[in-house]
Amino acid sequence: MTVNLSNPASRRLFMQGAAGLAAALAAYRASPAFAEGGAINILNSNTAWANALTGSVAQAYTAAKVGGESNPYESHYEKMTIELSQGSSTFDLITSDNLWITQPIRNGWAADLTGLKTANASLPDLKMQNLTEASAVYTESGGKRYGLPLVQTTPVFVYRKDLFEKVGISKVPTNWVEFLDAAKKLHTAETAGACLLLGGQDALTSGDWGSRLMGMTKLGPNDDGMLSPDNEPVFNSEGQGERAIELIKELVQYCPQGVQGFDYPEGSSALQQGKAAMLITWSDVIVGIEDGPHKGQFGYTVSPTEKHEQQMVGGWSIFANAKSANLEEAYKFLAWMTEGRAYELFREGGESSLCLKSDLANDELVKSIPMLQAFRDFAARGTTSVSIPPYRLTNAVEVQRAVFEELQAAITGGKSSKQAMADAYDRVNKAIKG
Amino acid sequence: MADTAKSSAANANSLDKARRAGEGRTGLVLLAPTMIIMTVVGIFPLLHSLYISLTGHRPVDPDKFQGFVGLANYAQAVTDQQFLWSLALALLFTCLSVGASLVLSVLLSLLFNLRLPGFTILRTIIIIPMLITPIAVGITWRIMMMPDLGVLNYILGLVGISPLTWASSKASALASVLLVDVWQWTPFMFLIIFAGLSALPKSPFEAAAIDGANPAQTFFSVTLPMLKPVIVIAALLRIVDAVRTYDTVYIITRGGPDLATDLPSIFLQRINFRFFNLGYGAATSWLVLLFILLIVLVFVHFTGFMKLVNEKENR
Repeated sequence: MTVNLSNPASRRLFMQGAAGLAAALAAYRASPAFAEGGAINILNSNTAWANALTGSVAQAYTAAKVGGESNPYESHYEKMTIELSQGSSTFDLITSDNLWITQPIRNGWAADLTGLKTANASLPDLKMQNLTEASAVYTESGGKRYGLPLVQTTPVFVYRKDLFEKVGISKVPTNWVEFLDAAKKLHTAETAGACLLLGGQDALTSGDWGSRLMGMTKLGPNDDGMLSPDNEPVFNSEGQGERAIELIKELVQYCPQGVQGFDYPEGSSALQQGKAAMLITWSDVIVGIEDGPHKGQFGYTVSPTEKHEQQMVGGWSIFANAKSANLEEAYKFLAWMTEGRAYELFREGGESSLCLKSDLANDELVKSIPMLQAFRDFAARGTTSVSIPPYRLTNAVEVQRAVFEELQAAITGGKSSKQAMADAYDRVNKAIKG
Repeated sequence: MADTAKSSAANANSLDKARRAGEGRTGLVLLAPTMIIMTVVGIFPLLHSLYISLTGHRPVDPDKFQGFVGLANYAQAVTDQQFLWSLALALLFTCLSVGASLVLSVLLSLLFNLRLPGFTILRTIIIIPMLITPIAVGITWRIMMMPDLGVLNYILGLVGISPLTWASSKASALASVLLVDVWQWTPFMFLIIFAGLSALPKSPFEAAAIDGANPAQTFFSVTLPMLKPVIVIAALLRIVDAVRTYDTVYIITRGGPDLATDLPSIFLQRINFRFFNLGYGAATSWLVLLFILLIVLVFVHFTGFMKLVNEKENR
């Protein structure tokens, strides 16, 4: 049989056949069967560790092809929630801020890694002993492990050592009274005494207000300072919520103009460019601060407190999608990560919010990454770690937003601190139970 | 003979009917793909969102009631201070933004209508803001408006003006995002109005000149009335767009500080895609749609838009 391609009908038939074959090939390549051949797809963020995860870490892992998609912070949350709530299997592994982590665990979207290991004893063990306990707590629930920490973060007090010397501050503030005094002394027309981040939901609620709140009442290691274990608001049980607002209001006049609209990037820029002398911010969002004109002049320590030496430890985690067609491959990758090399590659990729115990114990490393001193100061100050609020909720973002709006209203003068806290209680209760 | 004529007329009629029926069927077949696509991507999601708005659907919170709640979401919306605030803000934002753009674009059109040398190049340059993606516009302006490090305060400093807080303070945030909106979308109105101005007949202007009308009289008595249909259409398009403003404002202020720029699109994004409270989000989305329709209807009523359209059709 011969095909005469000069005949229009034959030509059409030939083209249709070719298109059909191409479509069949594309469908085969996209099928789960192909994916099971050893490709792991990660829904990823866009920070230093995230770039390393799908870059150098992916290259170092030879048992499967690892790839992923990076997303900015907020769209990452949206994408994660949409994908998982719709039962999508597009991503085998998901990275998540610990603020959101309860949502996939409680809703059954995260795979039970303990159960996977029990069902298949040939799977390697997760070497959790290599990672810090405070960072691993977020991915454990009901005695089961659902994921691993990627980085651990804490509110860090960053200050200009040279300006401290210039105005004669010899003791780095360890409480909020000393912090305010230092801001007054440091404040000039060119450089603000301190910087607040009042325009960012997370930056204000967990950063500025939260860091003040945590040291005011005695908290257990799994407490978050905002809600009791049965999810009742406790953030103003002894008036500490109002007191934390007042501490912020006292400081505003020693801050750069326009701090009401500042979020993490503006705060880092202000410090980097010498427009502010002190800042409390999360350790993972001040990467690059040493790249500016004041390199080497920054000091880092744990955030000031009031009555109790307690600091939030948050961070990011990674978990396997329960709907993944590639669960065992994903598990094996996570198990490989716990051996440590992946975390070293995060550090080599520029990450300084580390959770590998051997990194934090390495004196030479602390010298080369000055920000790590904040974590080292936990021991020197006798600091205990507490959880980030309100991580236990599936709608943590909504609850955090309600508190944020009330804090902004109080700080910008729209409400009294007392009224703002009363309204925050109502709104939090409504968001949790309503 | 008469019977034959009748019979052939009847045959012709039935042939005509058959042909028309055939044409109708062909038309339906040709329209079918579009109808199907419209139904799948347009009508079905719209109806589905209407259904969702009557439920407590919250995919992130399976513990809460997800089923049919009737009009409860709508009842909640009309007493939700934050939602009502966002609508009021949208009304203010739209009036100020469209009003400022309109005045500026008419003035620019009159200026460019002088056809001075170099205006052709300048006309091309002036439309650049509307060609830039709103996200890039937002990021650029956010950086320019930074109180300590932004270029705007630097320029103000050069002419001896104290630095402003721009989008960083509750008092000036709305004015700042309005500035950006007007900067970006005035060129759009300018293009439409300038095209309308260029197409006006010369004779009424010649008659006005002969009658001794001064430039202001010519503008208010000749130019403006003749431009009215074009201005109304340009304003209508901008109104719909201004009420839906999202990208630039989200990038610059995220609705803050303290809800000072919390326009409906930002409110809806928060409820739907941060809180995933989809039942309530769908209900408020429908109310925003009705709000836009109401604004458009009021505008159409007071500008005599339909009268203008009817006059045009009659001509």
